[in-house]
Amino acid sequence: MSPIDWGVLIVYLSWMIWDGLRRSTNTDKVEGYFLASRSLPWWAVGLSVMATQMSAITIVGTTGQAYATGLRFVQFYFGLPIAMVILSLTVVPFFTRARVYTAYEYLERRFDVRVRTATSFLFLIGRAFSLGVVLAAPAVVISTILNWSIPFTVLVIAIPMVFYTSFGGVQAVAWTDVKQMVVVVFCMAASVGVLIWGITRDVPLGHAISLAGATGRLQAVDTRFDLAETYTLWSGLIGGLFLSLSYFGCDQSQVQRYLTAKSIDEARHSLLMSAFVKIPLQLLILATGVLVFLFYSFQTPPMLFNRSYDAQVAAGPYAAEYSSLQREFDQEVAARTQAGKANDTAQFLASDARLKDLRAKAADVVKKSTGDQRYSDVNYVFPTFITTHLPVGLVGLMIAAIFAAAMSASSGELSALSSATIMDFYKRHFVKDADDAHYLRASKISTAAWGLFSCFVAMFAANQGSLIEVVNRYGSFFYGSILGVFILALLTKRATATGAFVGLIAGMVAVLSVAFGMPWIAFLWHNLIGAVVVVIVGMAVSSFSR
Amino acid sequence: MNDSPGQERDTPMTGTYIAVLVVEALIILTLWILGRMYS
Repeated sequence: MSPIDWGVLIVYLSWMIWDGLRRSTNTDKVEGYFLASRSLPWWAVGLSVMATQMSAITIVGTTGQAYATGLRFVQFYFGLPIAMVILSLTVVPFFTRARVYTAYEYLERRFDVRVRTATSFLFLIGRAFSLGVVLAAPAVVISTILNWSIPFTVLVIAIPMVFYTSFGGVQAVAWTDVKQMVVVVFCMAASVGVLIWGITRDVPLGHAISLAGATGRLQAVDTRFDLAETYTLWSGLIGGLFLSLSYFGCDQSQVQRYLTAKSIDEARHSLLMSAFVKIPLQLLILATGVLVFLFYSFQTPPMLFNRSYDAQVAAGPYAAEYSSLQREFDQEVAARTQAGKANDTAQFLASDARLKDLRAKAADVVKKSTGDQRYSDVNYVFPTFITTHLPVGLVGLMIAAIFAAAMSASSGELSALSSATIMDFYKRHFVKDADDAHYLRASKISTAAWGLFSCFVAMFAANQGSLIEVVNRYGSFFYGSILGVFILALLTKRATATGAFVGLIAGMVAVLSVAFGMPWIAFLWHNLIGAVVVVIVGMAVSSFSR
Repeated sequence: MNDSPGQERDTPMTGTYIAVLVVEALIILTLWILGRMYS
């Protein structure tokens, strides 16, 4: 990066901390610290909701995925708008009128303290580890781009984020999220502009889009009903609906966002903003990945985008094999470029298939040479484009946007972890009658402690790819079951506390059994299975325990 | 903070909900047609 890019990055990070703290008012009370005194406008809450979901890996990972497979990942979000409508009609007025601090607090009023504690505990365990991963995953990519060590990169992301979240509370989180969303969307739009400009220097845009279509990258909707296929219209609409209902309706990191809204109407508007914007925003990110593919169809791409092992492979026993693959790759890239410019679709597809095969062989050589069996370059495609083809200044802003996404995704989770810890455990079980100032101090300490914990998890997870997989799977283990408990709480009058508690355990056992006994079932369906089992078992047990 | 009528403001949004579902249906249909056109 040039000195100008470094300057942009440093100014941006400094401004974010300063402005986040400046905008935090009424944080001398617990309600102000955790719920912004229920005073935020819908558009700020809505942007904060979207920023919390958009991690740095959404930017670098999703574009990399679209580079390889196209737009199909968008189906993952098809259930989200429907979920937002259902939540606006159901949980939003319930939670807002109940004036709760956490989603789980409501469960004690409806059932008993066991159900509240169990669901909040599941949330804390899942989110604490996922927060570490949310920090670790971009840290691995950024450390390679900037040639920093992973622990240093984790700290550069975490220290500003923990600082403004600990001192400014949820208001600092929300207002920095707003800025971060604006920067992320601006940078993605600017990247699309640069990509289109780059592509149209070689071929007309319509011609390029036809080539993308010929490779199958514009096949966004898969109408097959196949439980083993992760992303289809049906897994997105049904499994994605239950995932979104659970995430936005029962996960404190989201519920806390809309509890900060001024009114029920404003909370609803904030969710409906996501309902309208989320799919187009995700399409923008995925389209960027497809455009990067088209860009590199006419410019020479690296054989592998993750170059972290280049020196090791060059000095290893497979150096000659790798060099031979590189020569074949260069020849095939020239053939593909020529075919693309000549609009020879058959030759373009044949060359593209051979390049895919050569890339897979090269990745195998890296794995053999280094012993890193998890080696992948998906997350490095877009950062490589950013650092080698964007103009000076925009590179710094784009790297700032990746930092911003990492911080905005983790700050919301950090604040939610702290609110659940203090309200569902510390105040409920340990120190019940202290004054507001005591709980405020405890909340700030809790926020900083969770921040510290997440840094340790991030530094450990960065070198443990399997741990990342375990944590991601863990989320789908309990999301559906927690949703089932909320369905029992909100939609039935007959459900009892014992029914909900036994149902929760049954749902978790059912999802674990399916996950390990029938691993071919795509994880999106786990949410539906968990919710249905909790409701059925919960209602059955309730009928005996009344 | 005390409750105020503003905080309890709860107006029907049926039109907005329908608009959300219509926009989503149009997006899915457009993406499906796009995929068919370029397959």
